[in-house]
Amino acid sequence: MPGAAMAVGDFVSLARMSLVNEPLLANSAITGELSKLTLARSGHSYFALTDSKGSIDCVLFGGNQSFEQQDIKVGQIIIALGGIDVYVKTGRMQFKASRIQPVESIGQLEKSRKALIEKWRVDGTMDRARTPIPQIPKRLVIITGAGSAALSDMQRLIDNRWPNFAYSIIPVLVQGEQAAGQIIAAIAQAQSISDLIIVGRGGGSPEDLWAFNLESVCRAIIDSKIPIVSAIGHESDLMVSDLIADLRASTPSNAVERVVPIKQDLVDEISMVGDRIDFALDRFLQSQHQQIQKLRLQLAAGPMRGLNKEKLRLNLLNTKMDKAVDLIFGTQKNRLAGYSSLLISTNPKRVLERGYSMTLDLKGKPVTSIAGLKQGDPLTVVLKDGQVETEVK
Amino acid sequence: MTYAKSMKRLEEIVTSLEAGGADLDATLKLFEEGATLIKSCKLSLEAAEGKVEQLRLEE
Repeated sequence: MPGAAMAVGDFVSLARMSLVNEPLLANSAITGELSKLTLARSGHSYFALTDSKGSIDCVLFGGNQSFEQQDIKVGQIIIALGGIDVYVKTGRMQFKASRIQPVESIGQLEKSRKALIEKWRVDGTMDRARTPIPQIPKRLVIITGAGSAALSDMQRLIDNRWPNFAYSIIPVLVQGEQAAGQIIAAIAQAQSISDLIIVGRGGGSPEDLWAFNLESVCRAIIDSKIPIVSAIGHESDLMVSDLIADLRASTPSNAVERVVPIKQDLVDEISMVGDRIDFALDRFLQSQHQQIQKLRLQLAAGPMRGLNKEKLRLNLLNTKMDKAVDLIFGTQKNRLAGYSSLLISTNPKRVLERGYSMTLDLKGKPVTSIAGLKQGDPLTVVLKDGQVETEVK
Repeated sequence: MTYAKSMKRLEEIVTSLEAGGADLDATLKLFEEGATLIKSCKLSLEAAEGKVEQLRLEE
């Protein structure tokens, strides 16, 4: 039934599509012994990986350099990262590698990672004083892979937390041989334009994340004058950069959550504080008004009370003085009156009026006794209405 | 002389007059001095009162 037959090219294409779209096959790491290695003039590398159970042809486009630099030889056990592909023209299935790594080197890397941690633990670098993270970063710089899922996660999250938050991105390769150099350069570039740096990348295999275990990258983080947040991989991944950074975030999203505040929270907080200040100020002003009012009343009453007291005092003195003076004058007058009545009562003329007479001698002195008188002494007798000259017989 | 000093002098005068020891001439002299002081103290008080009233109006 030729009508039901399918063109072979279509068939192979269909087969390819179903293989390539299978996530398990499209993105995996396989390990086996390297054989049939051809480093083509085009720069592409063709080889096979084999173990006791199976074998597959592989290609690493532009891979010659990678083989040469890592000094990988046929017969070695290697890891290839990549996915399945089918060359439609021949129907041949092959593994399209994106990266290769000798198996031994992973153990070596792990060893050097431990050595690095140990070295920095001993020399105190691990316990170095961390640069404080600004409460609200004003010039945040994110160093991460361009177009990566980690970056779009962070961007979305920042926008949710603080719409129009100002930050900049320095795109770098976060895995592969150039990653370390680019990350170090990005940290250097960010020094003059940032107050906080996030170095981040999403999850991956230990090899993918390896740049963040390198001494050179970690040294750049330690030496940075600007605080750096290390946000590498998933929660379970702990990189050397996490240990020595100023802040460790478990994931890139977590980094954003920890350094970019939720704007609305701050706005709410500020308005609450504002309300409290207003309230306190009102209360303060009110109490001051009352105080002033009270003082004003006291002041208004004060001087008059004092003046009235002074007036009373003055009046009292005035009265007292008048009294004292009156008393003095009165006493003087009484004494005068006493003298005058005494004078009047002792006036000799008043005695003569009652029938008494007064005898004076030649000198005009009163004679009060017969002693000393001789016969013939002239005397003057004074009576009420005249005097008589006479002599002693 | 300040108001306070005037008042103090006035107290002295009254006390000495009340004691009554002084003779007439001295009494007259003290009384004259006292009367002058009373007048000036009254003036001071009135001036102070006027000032207070004025400040109240300005409030």
